[in-house]
Amino acid sequence: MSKTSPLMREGALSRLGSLRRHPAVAFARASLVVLIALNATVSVWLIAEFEGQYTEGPPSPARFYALAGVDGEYTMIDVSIENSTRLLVYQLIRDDVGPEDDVGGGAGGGDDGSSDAPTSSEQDSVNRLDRARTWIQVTVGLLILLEVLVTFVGISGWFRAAGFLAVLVAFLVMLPLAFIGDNPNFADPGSTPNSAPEEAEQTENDEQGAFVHEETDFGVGLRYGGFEVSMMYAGYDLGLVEEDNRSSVRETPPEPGTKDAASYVKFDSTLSLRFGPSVVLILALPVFWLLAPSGRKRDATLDESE
Amino acid sequence: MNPRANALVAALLLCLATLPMTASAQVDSIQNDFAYGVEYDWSNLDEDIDSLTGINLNEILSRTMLAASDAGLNLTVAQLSTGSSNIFVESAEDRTPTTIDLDGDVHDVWMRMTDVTIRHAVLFDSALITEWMDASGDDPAGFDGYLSVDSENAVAVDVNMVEYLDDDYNLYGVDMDFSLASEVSVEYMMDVGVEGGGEDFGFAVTFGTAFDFDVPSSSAEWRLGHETPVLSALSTYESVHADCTDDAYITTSGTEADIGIECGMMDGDYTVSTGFSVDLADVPTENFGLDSGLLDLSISDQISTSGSFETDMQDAIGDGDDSDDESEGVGFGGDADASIIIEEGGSAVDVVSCNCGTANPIMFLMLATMLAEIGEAFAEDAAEELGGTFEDELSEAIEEISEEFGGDDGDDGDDGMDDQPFYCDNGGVIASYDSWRIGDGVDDCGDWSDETPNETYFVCNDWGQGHEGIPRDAVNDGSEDCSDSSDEGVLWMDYVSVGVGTFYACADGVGEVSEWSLENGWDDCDDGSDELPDAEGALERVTIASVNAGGFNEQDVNDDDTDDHCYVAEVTVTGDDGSSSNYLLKGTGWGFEGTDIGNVDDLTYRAYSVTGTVHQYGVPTSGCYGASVAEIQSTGLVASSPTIESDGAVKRLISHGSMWTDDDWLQVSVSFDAAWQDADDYTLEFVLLDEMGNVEAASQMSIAPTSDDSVWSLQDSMYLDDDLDAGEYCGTFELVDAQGVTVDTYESEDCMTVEEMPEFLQELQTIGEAFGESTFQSTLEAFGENLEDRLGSITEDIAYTDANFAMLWSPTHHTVVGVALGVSDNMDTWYTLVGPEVVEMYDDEINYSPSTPPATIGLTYYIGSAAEEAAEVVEDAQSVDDIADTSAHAEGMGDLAQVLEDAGVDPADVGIDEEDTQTDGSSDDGSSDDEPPATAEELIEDGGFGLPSVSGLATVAVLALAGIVAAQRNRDEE
Repeated sequence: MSKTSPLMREGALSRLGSLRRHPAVAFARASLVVLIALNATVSVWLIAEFEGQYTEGPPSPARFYALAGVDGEYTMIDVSIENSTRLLVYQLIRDDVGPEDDVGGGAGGGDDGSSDAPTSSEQDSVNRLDRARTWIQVTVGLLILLEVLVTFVGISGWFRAAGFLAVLVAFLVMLPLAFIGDNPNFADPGSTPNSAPEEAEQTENDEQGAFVHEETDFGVGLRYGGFEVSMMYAGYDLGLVEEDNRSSVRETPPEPGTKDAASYVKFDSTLSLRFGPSVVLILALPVFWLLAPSGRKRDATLDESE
Repeated sequence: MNPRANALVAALLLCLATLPMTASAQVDSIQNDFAYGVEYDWSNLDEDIDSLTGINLNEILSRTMLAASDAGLNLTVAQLSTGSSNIFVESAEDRTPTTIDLDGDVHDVWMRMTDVTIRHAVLFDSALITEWMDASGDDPAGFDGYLSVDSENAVAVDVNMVEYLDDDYNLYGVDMDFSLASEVSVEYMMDVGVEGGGEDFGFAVTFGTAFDFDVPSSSAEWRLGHETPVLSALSTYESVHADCTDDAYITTSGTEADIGIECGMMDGDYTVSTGFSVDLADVPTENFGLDSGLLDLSISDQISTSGSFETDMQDAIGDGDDSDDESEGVGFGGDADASIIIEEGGSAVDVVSCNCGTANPIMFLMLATMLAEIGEAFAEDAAEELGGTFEDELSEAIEEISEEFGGDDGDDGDDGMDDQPFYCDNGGVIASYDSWRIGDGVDDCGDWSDETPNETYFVCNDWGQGHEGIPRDAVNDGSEDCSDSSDEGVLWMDYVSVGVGTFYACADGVGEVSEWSLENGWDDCDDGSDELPDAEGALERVTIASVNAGGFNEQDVNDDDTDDHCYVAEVTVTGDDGSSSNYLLKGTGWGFEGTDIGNVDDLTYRAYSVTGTVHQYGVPTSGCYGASVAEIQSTGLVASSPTIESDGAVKRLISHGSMWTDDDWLQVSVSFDAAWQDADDYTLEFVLLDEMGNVEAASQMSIAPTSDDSVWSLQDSMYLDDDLDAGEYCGTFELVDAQGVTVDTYESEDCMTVEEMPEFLQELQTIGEAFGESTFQSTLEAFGENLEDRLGSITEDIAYTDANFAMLWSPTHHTVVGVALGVSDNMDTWYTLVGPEVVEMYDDEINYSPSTPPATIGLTYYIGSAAEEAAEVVEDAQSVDDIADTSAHAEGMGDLAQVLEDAGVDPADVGIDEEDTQTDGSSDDGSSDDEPPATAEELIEDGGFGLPSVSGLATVAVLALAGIVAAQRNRDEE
């Protein structure tokens, strides 16, 4: 095995440092940054995936799967329901049961005017994603402009770093929030994606009254390029319990093996939000700035941020 | 060589000639083999229809398109069907000796195998493209779009049956394997764009549905209790009647046979699966006010189950007690109908035409029983799996749905009635749409719980003994309706009211007479003024209110001509102004004396409520008739009846008002109380108020009653120049008299809600209006006229006037050996359209021609080895792609695409591109680069500029590299 002398090693590193600041390398770096940024804008930005399955009770094993992709123009949503007959049968056999203090009350109350003026909130919600899209396009454009200015005009690299941060905020914060804001029921199997938030709240209230002795579990975990939320919900569905037995089931869980015990319904689900591969590639931009820093070698103050 | 030697040599040669045959028989013991089958190529469908009917579908389509083109409407229709249907029957006898056990008795038998192979698959594609534009106006109106249909269906059935027979063709038992694979799918693609009035609207959607039902495997074993000669009997006798009996027998009489069969049991097992999927794709969400994009929805399910079954074959065949004992037996004996060729180069076989299934009738009996058992078991399994412990609830739900669909009374609109049903005490239910029955005096529940005691019905004293109540009009009617007679002689007030009568004051000012007294030939006024000419105009008209009551007041109960009781009705009238008056009406034995309470115009109220009670007193010395009310009351109160109530009006009041929108019109409707007794003129003022109290519409309606029209109700329509904004609107009705005084006010109980119309509906409305003003109507009329002209000349030319499908039973084979479709032309000459070669037709009554029929169709009949080879080709095919000739379909799709191109339509626009026309059968959705990705999955897979995506490993590697570089830079700077 041959050993390299410290002097030779020093010289090689010095030549490497000069090469990293060569104008051709800077041009290549700028081109690559622009390409990666543009590639991100025309690719899928956000991927939302929901998977839920009834694991116990009459609707099991009905399974929901929803996949949404958001890019600069469209929100594509695929929804599939497997083993749907069980779900249909479940909807058929269960009674509508309201909250406890509403039992026996008229079904017609409380709905007056609720659907009269949803327009402003609906309009706002629909516009959230469009606003996020605009922000992303503006920040990516700004980043490209700053990269060009840093490379060819020689402005401070800190501007580029700020632009990069703005891109990150737009992609990583604004976009997921806008998606969730626009699609509050994406992870709700009882309603269609994009349905009005008011409807979702109404359904939620009804369901809360119908289920007793509820169990819930909630977990958040990281996954590559995003995060994942796992949820579990279980309880006794009073809609499946005979009217005479409902009050007793409300008070105490039914004995195992009884017909009332068969009203136990459990739903396990997972929601994951992750960013498109091209968006993740943007995270590699600082690496290029490190590998091929802009400016002269002794302009340390300009380059240290890279 | 002498003749003797010659004879010996010849005999030797003949003996040697038999050796190979004997050897062959020993090597292959299968004898009596035959096969037949029919194949139809669906690509011949159009030609066959043309051949049989003289109607050319392509010609019709072509003329339809030309008719549309002449009318200014571009219409292109193209369709293609490809596929094949095959059924093959192969039968072979394996005379290798074997044994079968029937109830412990072992019998020597051999086997006859019959295999039926059915394969059917059809691919159908159709596209309709249309375009129309009227550019005559400022904003052109028109549409363009397409609808395409892609349908596929396939069925694959395999039946393998083994009959255990002896040399006399006595049947001992049957084994059967059965499998089925079926699938049906259809997909509709629609893309339509309409424009008009400066708006345009596009809608594209793909809807697909698929269903499959499979029996991957099932087998059954049928063992008789005793062998039966049913097959040979069928071949011998013209009428065979078979029943299941405890002991096997056969009795014959001439051409008839009666067979008793020890039917035995059949048992088997099965696996069944079924599934469906419904897909809705490419729904453009932005048209519905949602975020721009597409929604794909897929719903599917698959249910599989397996199990076993056992059944008594007596249930399938019947026993001697069945009514079918009297039915006519079937048999294929007697004279043969024809001789046919069932094997290439083989000798002719005599056959009898029968109605006995396309193969062995034993197969169809057993198969039908198997399928019934499997179906029943599968249905039970599926219900158990789906309903589980909630089977009863599921049944109830299904029942409710059935009732909902079966008992629709059209009450699906918002009529303001309570949607909740009425629950009777006895568990009965009165539906919400029958709520008018509650409190109507009729016992709808059966326990009177829908009525009010003593108000709407009478409560008998024998409550709880079966006669809880009777209708009010049955009280004191002389008939004992309660079992304890408590409904007769009871203190009971029937009615109490304030009546208004129209009278005319006599000219001398003394008294009034009724309108019926005018000019009736009698002087009712003392001065005879009621008989003056035009007395109605001459005398002053007055309306008088009076209190009236009815109820029980039988004074002489024991009919001894002396009063037992006297009665007084106490009536209290309370006006809507709060005033109250009490009236005492003396009983007359048949009613109560009425009391005038004055001229209606002098009353201080218009509406009133009234209560009344009958009081029973003793009899004053002057008797009931001669005594005053006070004298009667002085005898002391004996008893009182329940109090009843009523209300009403003495002058016109608003009873009900409502309003609704009808397109651009606001409709108003009002009804009145006490209209017939009020001849005064009024004005009804209506205003429609929004939520802020602003007047959105107003109307004035005059009320001028005449002797012919009392004006009970009014309607009005108001044109709304501007559509009402979304929100709630309430109406207010005011009744104003001739002096301008508001005498009654009514606010609508049901306010009107105007929903905000979604943007896309507004666009469609604008476009619809533009279409209404365009030449679209005249274009359609012209199209209809052109169509009549162009299609009127097409006439049918039916090739055959009669047809007969027959199965051919061979008495020597004891089974069906072929099928034939015979047709006859208008000369009553019969031909075999599809079937085996007929060597001779024995029936002289049939004018049969063995030559080729004048019009043929794409059916091909196979026999012998050709049938076996054809069956072998398709027997492994299970799916559409396997069975149908997809490459031929692809070629056809190429032709279809060419038709579309010739019509100026890009085939890709209707989902047909080059891949669909390639023979590998691959398909494509027709999306182009300019269109958005069809699904979220496509969007995610779309790789932008094609830069490599970042994997987890790559990220770690890049970060590591960055770390190395950063460390190096730090060292550089040090």
